[in-house]
Amino acid sequence: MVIPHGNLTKAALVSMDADKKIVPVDMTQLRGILNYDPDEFVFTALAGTPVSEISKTLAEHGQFLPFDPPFSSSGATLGGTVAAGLNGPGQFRYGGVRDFIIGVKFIDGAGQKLKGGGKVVKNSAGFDFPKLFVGSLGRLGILYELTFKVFPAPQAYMTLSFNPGNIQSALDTACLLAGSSLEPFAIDIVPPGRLEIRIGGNEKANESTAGLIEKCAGFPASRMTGQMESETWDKLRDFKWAQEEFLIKVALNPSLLCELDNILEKIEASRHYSAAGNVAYISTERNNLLFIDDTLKKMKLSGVALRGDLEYPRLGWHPARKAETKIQSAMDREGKFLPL
Amino acid sequence: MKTFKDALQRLRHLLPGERLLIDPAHLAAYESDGLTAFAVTPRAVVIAETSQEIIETVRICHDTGIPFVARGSGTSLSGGSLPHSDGIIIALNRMDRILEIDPRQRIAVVQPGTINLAVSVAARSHGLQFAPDPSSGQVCTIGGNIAFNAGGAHCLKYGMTSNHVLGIKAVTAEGTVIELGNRSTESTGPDLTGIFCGSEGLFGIALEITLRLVPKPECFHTVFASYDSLQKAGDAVSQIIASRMLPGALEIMDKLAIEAAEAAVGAGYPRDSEAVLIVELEGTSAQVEHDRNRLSGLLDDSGADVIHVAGDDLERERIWKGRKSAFSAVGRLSPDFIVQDGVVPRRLLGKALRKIQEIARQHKVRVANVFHAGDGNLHPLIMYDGRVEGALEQGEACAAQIVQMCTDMGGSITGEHGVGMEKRAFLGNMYSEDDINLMHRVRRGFDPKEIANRGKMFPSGEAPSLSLYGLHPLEKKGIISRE
Ligand SMILES: Cc1cc2nc3c(=O)[nH]c(=O)nc-3n(C[C@H](O)[C@H](O)[C@H](O)COP(=O)(O)OP(=O)(O)OC[C@H]3O[C@@H](n4cnc5c(N)ncnc54)[C@H](O)[C@@H]3O)c2cc1C
Repeated sequence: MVIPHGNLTKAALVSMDADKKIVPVDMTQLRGILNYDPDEFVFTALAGTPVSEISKTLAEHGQFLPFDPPFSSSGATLGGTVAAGLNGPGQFRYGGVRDFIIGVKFIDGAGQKLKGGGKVVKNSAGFDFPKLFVGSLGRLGILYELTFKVFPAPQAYMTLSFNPGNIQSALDTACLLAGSSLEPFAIDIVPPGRLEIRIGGNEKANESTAGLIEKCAGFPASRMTGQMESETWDKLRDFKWAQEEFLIKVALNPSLLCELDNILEKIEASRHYSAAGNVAYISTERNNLLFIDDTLKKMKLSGVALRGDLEYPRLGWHPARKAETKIQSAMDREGKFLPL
Repeated sequence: MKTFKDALQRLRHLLPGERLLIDPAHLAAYESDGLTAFAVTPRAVVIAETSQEIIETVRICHDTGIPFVARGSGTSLSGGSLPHSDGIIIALNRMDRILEIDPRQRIAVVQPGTINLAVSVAARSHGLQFAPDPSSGQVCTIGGNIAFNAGGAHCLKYGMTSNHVLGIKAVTAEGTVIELGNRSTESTGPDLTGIFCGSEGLFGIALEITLRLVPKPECFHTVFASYDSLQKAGDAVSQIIASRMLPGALEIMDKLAIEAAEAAVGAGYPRDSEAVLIVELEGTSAQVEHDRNRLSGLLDDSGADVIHVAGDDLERERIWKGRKSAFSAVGRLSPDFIVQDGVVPRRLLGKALRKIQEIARQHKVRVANVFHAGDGNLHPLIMYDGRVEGALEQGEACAAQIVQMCTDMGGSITGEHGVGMEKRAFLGNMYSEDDINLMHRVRRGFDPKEIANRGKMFPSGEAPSLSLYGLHPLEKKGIISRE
């Protein structure tokens, strides 16, 4: 069996076994942007290309990857980002990696080169394999070439920090702003009760939007711009706050956030919420893993470990497993990839 | 056929007579969809009112090997909801309830027969909307939108239907109920919701769909500009894109389309122009204020003859009504027409349009053009008179050449209408035999007997099918006909 990997920024997804039956396939040398056409809002790159390299090239043309890939300063590759299905805080504005991937080329278990999707921003021909590969955890095939849609980057950012003091009011304000027409780029909740709102656009427009956001929230914020502002988000994207052995992502929804937070508070696990309560990241020690797995199952939430040494990275509730197995056996008849 | 009798008997137990149609007069209403050139009479129609009825019906079909086609509103323009002559139609238009709107989480849970526009109407009072807005939004269903990954005028910024679907509960063609995705914009594990969208009904039937809602923009700035050449309109689009703006919509209509739309709804487009460009900016008022000045400068320098800014919501609506009615309005210019749908890289739009005019001349047909210029999605409307012998074939030959042109330019055979019946022969333009075999295998994972939408999307082999050219063997036998 094989497991493809990039720079191991999400090492929990790359299980290595002691008796070496699983062959790791290092993709990091398969790198480079093959084609970038700013006028088309499209680029194609090899899977091992670091996302930081891509962001840099895009920025030279005033464009960006709107899903704001995490771990980029730690060397995350494009292929790894897709296979892990990871989005950064900026996903709130225009969507996640699933909303920007438009084409994939990959190798299946029989060693065949296959492809799905295309190279134009709009295409509905054939099954949408590019989306299927988002979150495929390196278990449906080896991605080697990817095509993405990109957007013009905002001219400037501003971050507003609110401190409502507790998780419930932070969440209430987050939901209020998320449903407003003020178009924040990121809405992150930092326990015990802080709220970070990122806005983007023309500098003058940002000023006036900031005022409206404070009005909508009902209390004043501290404002941040410039380098300090961008570094704040760089750190978040790199999970600098997560110090424990395990880092777990949970697909959440706002209705369950406070309940989950109370439970995590009790076991003293550090955590962070992004996308207005649609995702939780938990940093924890090994002795909490079983409990968290169990909690997620009870709450009908699904999770996946990104860091930490684990035989199988998925936690919690996975109602689609039956369907996943069907797809996996259709795609990997030789059984060369780890089971999903 | 014995199996069909068996199936019918079991369906009679399941459904009251008025919801199991077998009378030819009743079946006639289901013979065609938006691709009116084709018509096939199904053996029966099941009008479902509950998920359980759909599940049971699918199980009966699976047991007996009877093919089925799910049908929303039958507006598919690629023959997606065309019946199978040995099969049944499962009509979903009565499954039209919005089960839940959660403004705090910004989601809606709906039944598959829910009308696209109804979702936005229901969400309006919360300041939210369902972003995918196909021109057929007043009639087409969410189930149909999902199957074909429908688009609309706002795709460059908002994406397609699949970008707004978070979860799907479905019954596979084998009769198994599966749950894909969840109520979050995030997920873990492979994105099965993503591949179900756009699978053209080949996996099974969506029973319940969780949709993502987005806030309605605070303000809009809608402008049309008219030009004496298509090239100028196309160049203006390139300028706008290069300026780092991200408009909500960028649409172009050519002379014939303008004429038709004006005759139909009087949107106020200058009738004597060769092209009209519609640009819509949207967002916070501060950002729109900033962008509108830049846009105005760009349009002033773009060689436009007339530039008109919508003064209020009513005017904005009228501008959009003109654009959205263009398909049906072409019906005023020609008794029949084929709506083509292809994609080219945006920078090649001008070249593509010249080529389309050339192809049209060659085939001696008239072609009106409306297109989503922001994403290079062309909609040539190929006019023909079905009463004239050979006219349909000429129109089809023209359509085929346009599809070929799109892939030759590195684009796609369909941007939003799907492959369906119409473009099966062209799937191979984009994918290798191995790629298509993989699609077959994935489909069979959910539908081992290939009963869901049999004969659609795949190039050939699995069922007798209509060809785009000349008479199909079944037509010769008088089993199916084109209208
Ligand atoms: C005037 C006009 C304008 C149009 N404009 C646009 C446009 O701007 N953009 C665009 O994308 N399309 C457009 N279309 C095409 C069409 O409206 C879309 O493809 C639409 O999504 C079809 O919806 P429907 O309910 O009519 O589906 P149907 O035609 O009934 O079915 C379409 C396909 O979906 C399958 N299906 C239906 N329900 C389900 C379900 N619950 N589960 C699984 N499969 C299902 C069917 O089997 C069939 O294959 C237009 C059509 C017309 C006639």
